[in-house]
Amino acid sequence: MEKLLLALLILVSIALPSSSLHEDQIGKFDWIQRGIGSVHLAQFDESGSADGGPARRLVVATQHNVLAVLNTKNGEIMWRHVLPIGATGTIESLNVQEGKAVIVSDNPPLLRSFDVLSGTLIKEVPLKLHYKPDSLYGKRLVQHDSSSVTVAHLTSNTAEITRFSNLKTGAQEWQHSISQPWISSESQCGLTEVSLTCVDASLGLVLSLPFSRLGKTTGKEPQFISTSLESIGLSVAVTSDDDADCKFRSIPITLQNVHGSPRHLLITSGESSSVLQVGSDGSVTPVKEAGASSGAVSVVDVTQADDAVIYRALHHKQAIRISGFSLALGTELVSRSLQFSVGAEAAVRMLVVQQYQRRGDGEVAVRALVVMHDDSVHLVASPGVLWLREEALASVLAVEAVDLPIPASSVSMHDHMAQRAGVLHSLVHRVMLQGSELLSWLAELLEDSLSPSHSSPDSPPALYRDEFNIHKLLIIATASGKIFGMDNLSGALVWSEYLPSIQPLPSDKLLLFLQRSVAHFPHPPQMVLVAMHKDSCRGVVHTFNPLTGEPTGKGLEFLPYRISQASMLAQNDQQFIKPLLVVDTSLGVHAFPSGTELSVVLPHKDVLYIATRNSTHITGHSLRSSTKESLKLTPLWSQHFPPGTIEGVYTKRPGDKVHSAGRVMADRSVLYKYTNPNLAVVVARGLDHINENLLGVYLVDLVSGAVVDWISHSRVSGPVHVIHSENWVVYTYYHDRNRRHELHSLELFEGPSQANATAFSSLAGAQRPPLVERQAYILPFGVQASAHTITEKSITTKCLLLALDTGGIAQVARWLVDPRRPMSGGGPREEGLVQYMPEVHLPSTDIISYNQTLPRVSGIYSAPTGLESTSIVFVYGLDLFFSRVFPSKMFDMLKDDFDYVLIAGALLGLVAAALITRKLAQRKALYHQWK
Amino acid sequence: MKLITLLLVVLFQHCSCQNFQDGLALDGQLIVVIEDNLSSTSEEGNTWEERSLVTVRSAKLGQVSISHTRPWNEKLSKSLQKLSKSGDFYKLRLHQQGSKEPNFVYTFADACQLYASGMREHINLMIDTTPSAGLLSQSLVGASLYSPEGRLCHSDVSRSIKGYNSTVSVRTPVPGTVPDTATYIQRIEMANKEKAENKDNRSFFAKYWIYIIPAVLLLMVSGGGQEGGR
Repeated sequence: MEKLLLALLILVSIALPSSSLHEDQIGKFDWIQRGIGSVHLAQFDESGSADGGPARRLVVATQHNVLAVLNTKNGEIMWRHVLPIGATGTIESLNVQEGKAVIVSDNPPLLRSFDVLSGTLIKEVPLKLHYKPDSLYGKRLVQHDSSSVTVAHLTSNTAEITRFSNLKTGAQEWQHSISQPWISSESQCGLTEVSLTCVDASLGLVLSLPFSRLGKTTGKEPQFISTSLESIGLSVAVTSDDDADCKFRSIPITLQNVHGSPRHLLITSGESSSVLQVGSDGSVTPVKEAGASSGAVSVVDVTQADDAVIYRALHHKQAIRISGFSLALGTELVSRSLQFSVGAEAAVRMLVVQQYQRRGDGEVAVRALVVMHDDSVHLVASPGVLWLREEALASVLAVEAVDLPIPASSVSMHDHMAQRAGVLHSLVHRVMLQGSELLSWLAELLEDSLSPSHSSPDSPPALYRDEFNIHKLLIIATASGKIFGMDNLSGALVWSEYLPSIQPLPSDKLLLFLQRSVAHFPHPPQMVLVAMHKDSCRGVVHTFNPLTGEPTGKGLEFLPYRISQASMLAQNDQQFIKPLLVVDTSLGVHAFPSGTELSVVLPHKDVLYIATRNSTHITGHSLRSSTKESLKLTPLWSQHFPPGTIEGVYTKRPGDKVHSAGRVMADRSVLYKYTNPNLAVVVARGLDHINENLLGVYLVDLVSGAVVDWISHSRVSGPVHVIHSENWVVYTYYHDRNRRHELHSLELFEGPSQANATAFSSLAGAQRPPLVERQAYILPFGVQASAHTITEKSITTKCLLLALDTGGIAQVARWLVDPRRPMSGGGPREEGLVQYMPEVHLPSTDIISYNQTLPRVSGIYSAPTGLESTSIVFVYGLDLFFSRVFPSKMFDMLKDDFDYVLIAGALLGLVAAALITRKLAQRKALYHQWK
Repeated sequence: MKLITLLLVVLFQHCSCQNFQDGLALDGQLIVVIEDNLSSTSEEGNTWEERSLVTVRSAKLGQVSISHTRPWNEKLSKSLQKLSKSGDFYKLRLHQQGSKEPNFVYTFADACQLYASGMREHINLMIDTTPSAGLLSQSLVGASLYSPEGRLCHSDVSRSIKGYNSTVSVRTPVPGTVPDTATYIQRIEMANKEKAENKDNRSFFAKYWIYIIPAVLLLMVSGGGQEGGR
């Protein structure tokens, strides 16, 4: 009976309004965009199309280990499977036949077959190898057609080739181990139906091993057939060796498989490329193509129909031409060529062509999937581009939100108000201005009422700030080198700019800094992107206007040095630009924009820290020895950070605000917060003497080099996610021994008095070290990425935003993981602190992504809005998700389901009642007087 | 009985011996060499001079002592005053004595503050005591230097510095906190026990008769009314 009552109570409490999202609010404040990543394998599914018509579905496999099926009508994802990250999930080959998509992935290799229509896994066959393909078996090549699978592993001096012909059982037909001195895991090789073909730039040869020879010469070492590169008509591009430690060293000559043909390979050297046909005897012959220019030829597709046709994509600036050459005739088939233009000046990376019979006249028509180097995916037919997907958005590296400008009419008033004049003059001026504003507003109103549909649908909506500054522009920098400006409320792309010559910095980051905001009218806003050059690994700085994407100032600058660190000063120069300081690898300091007067920089920046990547120590440098003419760094402090290499240095977000300087204790005394702006969390990981994982967490003052706190976790492994704000630090990790995810929380206090309430100085010397409160909590899930909410004035309580392994984005109030939560229930209690509970509860109402699953989240970005209660959240990774959060509920705004009618009705009713009763009372009093 | 006493003595000796060995083996004595640099930061060149030795007997227990190998002299005072006037830093370089390739650790303090306080300095050494791969049981990781009372600084006043006035402290890593499940479970068990003790063991009817009887009466009355109305 009691249980029944309890159940009733729960039912009643559920029925009451809760703080979470209502079903009808889904999509009101949030949006989600699903992505697949950069496509590297694709094939049209021809089974669903009626009598040779165009295919309805397109199967793609991406470098993000996603297998997906796209609708060829609109490019929407019909289904997708996200395979594990890293080498185990890499999709090595794709073969679509009879409504089934067959892939080879995993280690040891697995043959999986999916139903194209529904996405269900039909069959999984392990391909049995006689050796264990671990990390020693470096490079894997897979050749896969309808009847057989060939797997080759290349290691130093050895190639292991295995052929599987029975795809039902995974039994091998034959396997061979070949030793050659020139084979390495970096060898450029390609597997065809009949041979293993490699190209070696140092030998200047194309080496081919026909499989037909393998069967006959048992016991004897099979010989490679060599063809010189000159006979093919290619020369090896000479590369300079001065950038030997550049991470992505360009390979002088590459060999890749040709889509659609198991007997052709594409060889590329520098700008020129050629298609090779491999004969069953191992002979390699270049395919002669009439009219194929030696220019920017990129990708080829061979269709093995009754007449084999080679398709090539040539690009000239933004125009792309796909032309078909008949192999039998050796002439160009003009009717089968396509022409279109793309938005960015990018080269074609991949081309997949489908030939089909047009329904009306039975002519052969052509449709092509074009993947560009900026990761955009286009489906092209004779009328032009049918649809386009920006898959660069699946690899976002940096996000920054920019406030939108206020409309020009209100700007003019603010601008003129700044002029100094007499009181009367300014009054007259103001009245006139407001009068003109009123007139323009009336004119606008009139115009609107006369022509309600005057805004044409194709013109982009005007980007102006809304009432509460929630509408912003998100500037997104991606790993492919494409930068986007995105409307945060709709997710629509406002502009995009492709920089083909850049790549992420060695730490896999791109840096975005907003040097000038929109607040300095008439100066345009300015943003700067710091990246690395693709070939030389030297620094690149790109300055642009974030509202339009157009380059400003010097635009794209190629620097003659490599970048070690970049940071932006908090102070403006006379042009309201915050200078960017770039430190190169030989400790030179450079300010951007390059004309910046050093008198702006010097008084504000004293000590810079330099953390070398994968090192064990950090060195602090001073700018004090700089002169007015040039900046100079001198080393000041150096510290080691055991137990291993430094994983990350996490400073506070620039401009991090602390609303109240102290915290009221249970006995009404005040405990002051330790808000050192130079404090950073340094995380180092290594192994101890018995090879157990160790994690060292340091709180370091980056100016003085003093360590404020030092925690050593034993048997703890990563990934470590750190959130650092105000006077607290929260980090998550995996505990090896307890086999669970844990969260460690730190809070720093100066004590009952403040040393210097107005200005903090790291060099003043600590009177006493700060008090550090520590506590650990159990997390029920693992964490993919973390951040905290940011509001305008930091009055609202902060929330942690955790992207969970389960795919949800959890909003966890900071007080839930407060290290000061009391262990016992007795005694006076501090405000807002409940008794300690070891587990952090994550109720489903705190998942801001409700039932949406977000796989592979790589980061969360949060920005304040004009409303103190509201903070915007942008989650990026494979998918993009945007939402608003209200960490302390919506205290400064009425709920959108607020009942205005009821309130107004009640108010009117009360006024009416008051009037009537007053009248009645007056009359009664009058009667009383007459009596 | 004798045997037990003997065994106890042996055990006791064994234990004390082990403790003693722990003290030696895990906290092997560490000597840190401190060198200083009184030249201006903008000047080039290595002008490091050895000035003190710090003996760390046990980092965990905070047993440290400092001895100065170079006495303070007037020339050093002059250089420090010069540094302090130009707003420069007094720099220290530390390394472990006896290591083949010295792993230097650098730190600094505002020269003006040190000068104003009369060379009162506080050196904080970071000693790693976790047994990690490739490192000794006690190793110097970092250091920081500051003047304990030197926030206000007047470089114009010339002071006579009699000698070093050094204090040394040691910081060792704090082991990471583990979620305190034991106390929580204990608390829950206590609460459950309390609940069990205070549990009302009466039957359902005995507990709620005051609600049930009026309800039944009401039903009877209303039912009777209906019957009567028929």
